Amino acid sequence: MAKKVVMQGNEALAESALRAGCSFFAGYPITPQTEITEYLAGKMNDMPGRVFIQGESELASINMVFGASATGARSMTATSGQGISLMQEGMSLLSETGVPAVVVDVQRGGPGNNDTNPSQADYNILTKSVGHGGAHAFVLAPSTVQETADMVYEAFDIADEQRCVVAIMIDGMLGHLMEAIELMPYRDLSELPPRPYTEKGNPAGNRLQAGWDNLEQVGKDLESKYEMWEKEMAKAEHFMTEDAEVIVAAWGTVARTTKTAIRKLRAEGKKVGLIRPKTLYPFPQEPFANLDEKQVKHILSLENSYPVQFYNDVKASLAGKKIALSKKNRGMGYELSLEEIEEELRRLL
Amino acid sequence: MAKIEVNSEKCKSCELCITVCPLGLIKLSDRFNSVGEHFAEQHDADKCTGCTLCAMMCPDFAIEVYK
Amino acid sequence: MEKVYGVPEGMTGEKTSFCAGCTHMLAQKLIVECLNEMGERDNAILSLAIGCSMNSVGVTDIHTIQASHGRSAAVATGISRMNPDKIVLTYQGDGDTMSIGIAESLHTANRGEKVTVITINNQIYGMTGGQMSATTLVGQKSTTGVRKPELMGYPFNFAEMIGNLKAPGYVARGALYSPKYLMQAKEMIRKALRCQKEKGLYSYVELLSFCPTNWGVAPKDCLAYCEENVLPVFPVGEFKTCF
Repeated sequence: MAKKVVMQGNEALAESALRAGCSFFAGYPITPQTEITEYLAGKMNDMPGRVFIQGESELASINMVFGASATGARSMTATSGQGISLMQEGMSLLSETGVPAVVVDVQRGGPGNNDTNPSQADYNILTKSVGHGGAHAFVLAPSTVQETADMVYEAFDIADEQRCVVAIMIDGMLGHLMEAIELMPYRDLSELPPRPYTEKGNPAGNRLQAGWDNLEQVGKDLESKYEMWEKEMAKAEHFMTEDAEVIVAAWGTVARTTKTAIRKLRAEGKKVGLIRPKTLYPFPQEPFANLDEKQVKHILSLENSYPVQFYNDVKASLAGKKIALSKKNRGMGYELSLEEIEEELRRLL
Repeated sequence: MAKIEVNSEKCKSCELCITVCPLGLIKLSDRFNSVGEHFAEQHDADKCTGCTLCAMMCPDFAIEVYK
Repeated sequence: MEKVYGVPEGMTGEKTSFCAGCTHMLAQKLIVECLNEMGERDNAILSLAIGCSMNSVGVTDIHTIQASHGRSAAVATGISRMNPDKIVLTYQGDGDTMSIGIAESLHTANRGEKVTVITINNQIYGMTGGQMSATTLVGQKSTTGVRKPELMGYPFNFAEMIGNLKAPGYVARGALYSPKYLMQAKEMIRKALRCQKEKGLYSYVELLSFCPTNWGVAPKDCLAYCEENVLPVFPVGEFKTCF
């Protein structure tokens, strides 16, 4: 068993990315993501075969990632708020050319000009499509520092295998939280899976472009890939749901706070549980669709966003079920507190 | 002894070759290619020195020079 | 008789979708010829842009990666940093380099990335059909208006601007107007590539090009038009050299 280390979420994410073989990072400072950029700035350029660049903008950074990844390196960028909007152009190109990349979003609220507090406001922008063109990213949502480190390690493999953008959504709470974690070992860069499509002379020809002659086929291939993801790759955590009569649907840090509330209520014998999607796209619909109507009386969807975003996916997953659904949310820099969640659950139980 | 060969199908009749031939040996043909362009053609071929300026200026790879 | 001039090695020579009299392919030809002379064609990676420049996709066998509009220099930065032994080029238009991609273009130059940026400057947006660009001349007509300095300022002299930065190794402006200019432009591209290969520095070559279709000038009259109107605003020459 590896030694445990106490690390802040953002730094654990950055260190784990290095261990996964991230060889290229380009990013632009933005709160609450900045520690990732700072951590990698201090390390990467002294490591053989790795490069850190502070881009002049998020727009430039994501395109540097495209260039580096398209010519062979595991690449990552990290941002927040406005930066995700600026990176949409690049994420769309990455997705439709099938160039792998890992994009970290340490979310802030609303339009983000004033508010850097923890938030889940980028749910729609990252899960519905990466930008123009309608392509999807594979979206991971950790809720602890350990899971953040594990998920970013796995993200590079998913990106390479699925030839897609893998987005990791955390927020300032998780990014700045310190926990004791175990880190995965350093990957040998020379033993990473080959990426033959980045080489000249590959079967796809010597040019990398979003479908010059075969654009329709590119679209069809993307669609079948996403259908496969939805069928086989969606993941969720079930927490005390076996006999639960009220089930909370929540992700990320809200799910984390919810667990504390549930433990407290369970100690009083209340039958309450949690379904926490770990992949936001593909969205795990089955855990909701398979719920027993005789057992579960109510679903409470919680999130830190005005207007609700996650709620709509929960609602869609429950379509046709005779289970009551309600929501409780805060946003724009305000977060659901343990007390608020507990109070809402008591009201429903 | 030199000559040029114009690929009439590639020629877009932009006339840039005509403007650079120092001896004025190229003109547009009276005939058309398959897309309706009056392609360039050489006349008085025996005067061509093979200087290659026309081919150098041709943006469409329509001219080859032989010497 | 033997063939003394034909399609250079590494180019298909097939018919392209460029307009009659457009000089984009002359620039491509010069780049390929220079890479051939250096023996680096197989070792080069080209970051292509959006605009008319992208019509050149597939005309060469250079490893090509197409960037989004304006982002070629950023993409080239990523390529170059991870592949320091490759020759990395961008091939962009004036809209790409000087309007939508001005931040990427300037910062790539200022960081002194080991890349060669080639910009085709035809003073207009060609692919979208003749709108005003950053380099449209004062008084020149475009489909989005005539450039009036009080409304739109003056044509953008990007080469002069980055010629004043510390990091770049070679900055020049050439033209594709006639064999005389082509020979000079080829020497500039040769120097720019040598600057990258031998000195590991950033280099920039702007190539003035004809756009007969969107200027409304017949190709055969373009040389005279440019000598009268374009060259006084965009003088040909070297603005910085490491040689």
